[in-house]
Amino acid sequence: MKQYVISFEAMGSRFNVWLESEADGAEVLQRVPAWVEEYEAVLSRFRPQSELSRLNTRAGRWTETSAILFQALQKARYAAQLTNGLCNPLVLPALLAAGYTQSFRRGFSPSTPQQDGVGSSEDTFSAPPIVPAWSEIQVRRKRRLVKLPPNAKIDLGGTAKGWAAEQIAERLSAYGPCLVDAGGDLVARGAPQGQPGWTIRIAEPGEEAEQPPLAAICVTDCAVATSGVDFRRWRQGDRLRHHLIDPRNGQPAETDVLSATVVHPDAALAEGYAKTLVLMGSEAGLNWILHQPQQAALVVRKDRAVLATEAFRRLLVPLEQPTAPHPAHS
Amino acid sequence: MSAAKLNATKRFAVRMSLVTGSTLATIIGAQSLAMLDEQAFSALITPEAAQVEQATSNVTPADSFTLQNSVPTATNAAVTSEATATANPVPAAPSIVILRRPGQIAPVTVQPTAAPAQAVQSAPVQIAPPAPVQIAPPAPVVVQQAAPAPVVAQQAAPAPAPVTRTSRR
Repeated sequence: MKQYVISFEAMGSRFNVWLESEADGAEVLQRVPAWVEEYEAVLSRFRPQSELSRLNTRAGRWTETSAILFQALQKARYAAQLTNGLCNPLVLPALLAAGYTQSFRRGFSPSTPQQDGVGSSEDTFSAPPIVPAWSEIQVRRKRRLVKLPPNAKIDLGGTAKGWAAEQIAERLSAYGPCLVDAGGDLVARGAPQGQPGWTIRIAEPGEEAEQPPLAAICVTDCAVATSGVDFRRWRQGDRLRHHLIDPRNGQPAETDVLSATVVHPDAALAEGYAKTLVLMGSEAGLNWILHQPQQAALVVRKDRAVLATEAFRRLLVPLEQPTAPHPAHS
Repeated sequence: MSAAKLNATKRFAVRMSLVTGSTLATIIGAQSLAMLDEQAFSALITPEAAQVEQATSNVTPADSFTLQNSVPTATNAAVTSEATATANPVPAAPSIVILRRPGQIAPVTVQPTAAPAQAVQSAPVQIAPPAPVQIAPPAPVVVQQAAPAPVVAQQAAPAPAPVTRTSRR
């Protein structure tokens, strides 16, 4: 059994995919970027020609969708249902109004809404836009028909990356144990040879590079997702903004949470729960997740305190001594 | 001949009535005895026991559900337990654990568990932060590497170790 790994850029993130296989793992992993591109071409709101962007131009009308978009949207609706609407895919107008009009990359600072692409001036509002209830999205499963509320737009950024990572992991699991890291949201299938699971480090939140990891967990056959306000943030006028919109008021959430990490069998729900923890704040969020069937969660507050549920604490494993970073990623 | 039949018939009827009568008497007697026993037992029940019996008979499934879902509120002061270097996992009701106090910056430390099945090989290298989105992404790199042996320190792998963090998108 040999272990293979591939690294590439997709969905605005760094993807790392590990595969242990007796077969030709290199040949199998070479297909993964194309698989991811297949999902991104459909689901990205940053591509005007994506199916998602076209659906957003047809709000109020029934639209037939592909299997990929329909499944991803159903998963987003499911996450919205289980989070009592806090993980709401209808936040795009609010995101645009807050200034998040382009994919984050080095040198991009969304201080003001852009005039081109998907962030056109007609999408700006003087007051925070009202976010419709997720339940106003209508679907007809038989023909994969979707109807958005009038003037609504969807963004699947809260669940799509985890969902895509899960699809990739399912495909790869036919060849052996695998771990898909989609820019910090991970899906594990099986375990490396001789080990009880995949060891995943939890990054210390913040923009500083070269920080030692916060902790490490060992998992198998589940997803690990982290959401937070520690990186994608900017100034809009004199206000500090970030990308996690609270659908209750259409504004970036006011929270004491810097980042939240959730372990869950379902990748989209792991993402949704992590976002919900941030939106609710540390106390209410952790109390809420204790009432969910899957309760493994960790929260880093802005005062750097780290809280976790007992279920998450049981996943912790010792951190090894840090070594020099690999030159390939310097 | 008919006289003999009558005698046989009479004899059968008498026997049947005797059997039936004795059976009924047995049943009625047993019931009477049971009633007497219950009356005697009732006289022994104390007022407190009667109240408990009455209370438990009124518990509905909803009450039990509510009780089971009573969980402590996580606040700065309401610490239910704190991970220490020597703490052993103890099955308990769901709770919140403080792994690091406010203002601290050290990583969370966890002692290895005693059970061999829990021993886990951590990633062998410190993760370099992922590079920002590149304008010209490099061609995919596939690296073949030997599967790491358990509980043995490895040299730096030619690829980053798995890390979960806020997406940099």
